Amino acid sequence: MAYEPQHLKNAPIVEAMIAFDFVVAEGELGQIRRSFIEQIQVEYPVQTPIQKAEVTFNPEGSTGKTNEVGSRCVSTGGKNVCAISEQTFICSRLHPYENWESLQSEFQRLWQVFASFGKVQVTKVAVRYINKILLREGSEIFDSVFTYPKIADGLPQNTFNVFVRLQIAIPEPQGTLIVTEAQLPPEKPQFVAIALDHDLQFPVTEETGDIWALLEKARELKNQYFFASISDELMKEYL
Amino acid sequence: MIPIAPPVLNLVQNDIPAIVCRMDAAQSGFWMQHADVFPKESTSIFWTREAQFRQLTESTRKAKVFEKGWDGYDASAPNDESVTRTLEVLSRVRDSKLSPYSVLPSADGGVGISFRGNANKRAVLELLNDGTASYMLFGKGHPIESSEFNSNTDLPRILQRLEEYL
Repeated sequence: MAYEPQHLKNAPIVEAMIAFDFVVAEGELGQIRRSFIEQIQVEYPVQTPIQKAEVTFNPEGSTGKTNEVGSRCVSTGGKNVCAISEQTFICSRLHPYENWESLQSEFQRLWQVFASFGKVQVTKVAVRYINKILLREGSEIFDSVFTYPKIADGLPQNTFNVFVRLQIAIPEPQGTLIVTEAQLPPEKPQFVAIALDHDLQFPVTEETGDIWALLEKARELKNQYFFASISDELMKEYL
Repeated sequence: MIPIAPPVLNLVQNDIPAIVCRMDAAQSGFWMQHADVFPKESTSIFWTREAQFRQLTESTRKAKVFEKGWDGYDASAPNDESVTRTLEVLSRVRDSKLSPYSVLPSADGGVGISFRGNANKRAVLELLNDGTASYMLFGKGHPIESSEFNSNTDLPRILQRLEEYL
């Protein structure tokens, strides 16, 4: 990590997410969710249910059922999405990304509306940034992206379909970094598209203290981890 | 040295996490027993959309396997040209706000991409075997709008119209 700019003007972020996991008293979530989505309907007019299908297979046949487990609300313009499921509250910002401040303030505003409808206890804080990185075809991957599978010398070296998922312990504050990398469909001649997805999750305990301070710490770490993951030369393309 | 492979021509060479894992788990007894190591579901709009377009691309490629008369009448099977052009159109749709609902062979010979919007609004793009393309907007309580278009030059305008309508 030779240098660390504060803000990348052309950041390759395709989705930025802040999320809280939460618990509420049994039976209250449905009403809290309904009140919340009604409250934000003007700003987030496209509201669709999140459904969960469960299918059970057994020798006698199969049975299935579909349950509504949440709501997804999309803003006018389609760039901001708020999703509430059984235990997670998420705000997403899609491309083009603006900055942390606007995402964080929108998340905090919506969370405060949500939490005003009932007693909601936060159990996990998460920050997730998904980047789409274009690398020139034929270039050396490790010159640009530093976390990637190393293939044994005796194996053929031309990869054409890559999916990597790593779970890494974060020491302080204690948490988990989930790194997901995948090769994406081609979209620009002579270039290969790779998704670099960093999901930082921190359980909230009695010792955690202020959850908004924890969220700021998560932000610092996500910047640190991203800048440590790509080369200075690649980063210059996003300045 | 790990050289990056050249991009593949079709869109389906690249899998997204959930699909890869489910396919592997379904085919392997070992992974069936260790299914809990896989990500369960994606909360990300980006990954959800990638998965959706991967499935649509698979459906488009599979359209080639239909045979003449597949609809019980005399419909032609989709030919290579209509499938290739549908893949091209899908890659453009992927960059728009639109979310296709399905890809199916067209009874007129070719491939159709369908869309579902609010208030029963529906749309279909058809890429036919003879090289022509058309769109139709329809739905209960909504007037029908349809026209042919040139898929090489008019697509941005047509996609914008679909975004407005749906």
